[in-house]
Amino acid sequence: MGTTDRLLRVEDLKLHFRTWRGPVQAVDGVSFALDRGPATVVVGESGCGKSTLARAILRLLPRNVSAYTGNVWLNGTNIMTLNEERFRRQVRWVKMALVSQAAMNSLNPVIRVGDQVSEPLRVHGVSTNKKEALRQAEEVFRLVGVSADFLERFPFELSGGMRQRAVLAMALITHPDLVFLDEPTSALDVLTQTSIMNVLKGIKRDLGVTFVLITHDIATSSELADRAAVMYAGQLVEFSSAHHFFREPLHPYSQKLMASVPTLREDKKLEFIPGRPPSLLDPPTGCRFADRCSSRFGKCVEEPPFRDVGEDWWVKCWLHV
Amino acid sequence: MTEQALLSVRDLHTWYELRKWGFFRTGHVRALDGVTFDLRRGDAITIVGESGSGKTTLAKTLLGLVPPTKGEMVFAGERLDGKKKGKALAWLRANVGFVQQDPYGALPPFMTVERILSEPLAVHGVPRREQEARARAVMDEVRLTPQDDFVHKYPHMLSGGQQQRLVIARAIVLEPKLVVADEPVSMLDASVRVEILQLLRRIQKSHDLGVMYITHDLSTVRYFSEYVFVMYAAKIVERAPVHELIRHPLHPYTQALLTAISDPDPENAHIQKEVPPGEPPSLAHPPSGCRFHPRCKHRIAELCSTTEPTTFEPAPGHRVECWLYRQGGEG
Repeated sequence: MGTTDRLLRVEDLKLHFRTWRGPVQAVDGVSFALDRGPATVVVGESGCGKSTLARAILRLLPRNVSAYTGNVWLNGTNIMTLNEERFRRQVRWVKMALVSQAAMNSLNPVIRVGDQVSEPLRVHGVSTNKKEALRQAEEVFRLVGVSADFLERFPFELSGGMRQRAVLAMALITHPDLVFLDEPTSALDVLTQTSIMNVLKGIKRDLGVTFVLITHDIATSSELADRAAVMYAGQLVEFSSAHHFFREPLHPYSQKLMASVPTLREDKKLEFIPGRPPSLLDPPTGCRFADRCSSRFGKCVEEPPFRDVGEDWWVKCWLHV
Repeated sequence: MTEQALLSVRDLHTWYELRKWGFFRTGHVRALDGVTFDLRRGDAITIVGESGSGKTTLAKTLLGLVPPTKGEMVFAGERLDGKKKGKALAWLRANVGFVQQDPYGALPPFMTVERILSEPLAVHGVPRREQEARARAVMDEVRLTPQDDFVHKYPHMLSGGQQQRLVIARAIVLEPKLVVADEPVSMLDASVRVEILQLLRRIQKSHDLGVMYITHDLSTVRYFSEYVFVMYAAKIVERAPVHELIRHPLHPYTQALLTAISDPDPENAHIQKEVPPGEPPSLAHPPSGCRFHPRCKHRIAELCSTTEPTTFEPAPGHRVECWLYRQGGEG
């Protein structure tokens, strides 16, 4: 899939968890490739494996992993073969960073914001000089639109929007190529959300950072999206340009998902998706969406391939083979 | 006050006391600061506002969970003062249903669906032989069917959408006149949000209920009610029919809010949106004059920062608290 000069290439990535009811197939055979520059949004219902996908790529794993296989190339290097120490020193936070869900509420309350934001520099061995680290923190603060005065403050003195900008600064301070944002604005107010999306657009344009935005809020995701990945039940079902996803998605699930998004400015008839996603403990063997799909036919009892239908537009559906 | 109003709220204030060391009074947080409106039986209104704008405090005050500091609430001919006890409180609880934001948190994990629905009936003295029939009837209404599949289930065995339908069923099982729904869909996936809103809407119509839908998400409003109130910093700043508000927002805050809301459109990624600077004011020390003036790009020098705007009605049924519309005459 694609050539080796792509920024990130994921091939058949699997991450299963062990639970007392059996293995949960949280991410099950995901393949895709990203270029440097364009931002990708990953959308899907809760529990479809969006956040787990980011954690699998960054190798941030809990203890109950039962299977973790596949290949991930970053700038042509297969990072799945690196040992943990090298992964930590060379990849995590240095090349790829993560703003995890609710990160703004996990800042340490008794440490000054500036020290926390510059911590990745020291931990990942980029800069050991504290003064230099603080100077760099000041720089990223300016980038995300926070005054340098806030470096001296404690987290409780910052509003929600300010804290979110601070954790974003923390992800950017090591100048990573790729930043995963897991629901970065869903706990914030509409106006704050919009100003943070403005900041992200500016960083994408001016610094060329590649963002992967994980969200269930499809309308807001369109603010940043150049490409869109749709996940369903642990698998990628469609991967296309933002234009194709928002205007004419091919997979029946993507179509239903788009039809359920309310619009402010146009009067459209909203639909909802009947039923619920399958359990990841024992997902159906064929197409995982077949039970809820209105266009299913005989072939759907077999698992469809994830195929390129042209223009780097991938669909996992028997209708488009 | 109109005769047919189901709920009539006049100049309602709810202030929370601020104390230092748990003892000295150091001021108030003005969570609700002079709210006036009427709600007729069978009408649905939406209250839109950001967090901290006072919308949840309004719900709590109406439900009698927080006593109002000042002002008047009349519900179905009864004055509410937040201090009701005994029979009067039971009457209020039976007549005002509440749908919470987080369905899982609102349901007792150790009770089955059947018990959750018959508990309010038992508390309000409905004979046991009627309880089951009424619980089943209400399950049919929220489409938790076939009922036999659900009656013995516990909340954790239901999906998010089913849990919220159960919360709605519990809210209407006593046949209330008014339902207050505080962010009923914000914890749910987009794919089930619509289903829940359509369900609430259908129940509202078929039972001739008054419904107060509280949300921060303006994009869902048009799928639910005809009339919207916009709250900012503890006050209602604009009220209008939904389509009118979306097409011709008048208050600079509403305009900013509408600009900020995205529709799923790939073109969004190529434009920077205009956002008013700053953040909502502290309700312990709200700004003088219009509360939006420090962030407003249309502010009128001297006037907006010193004098609180009164209500103007530039178009019939569309009222706004903003000095920009003073030529329109007071409404």
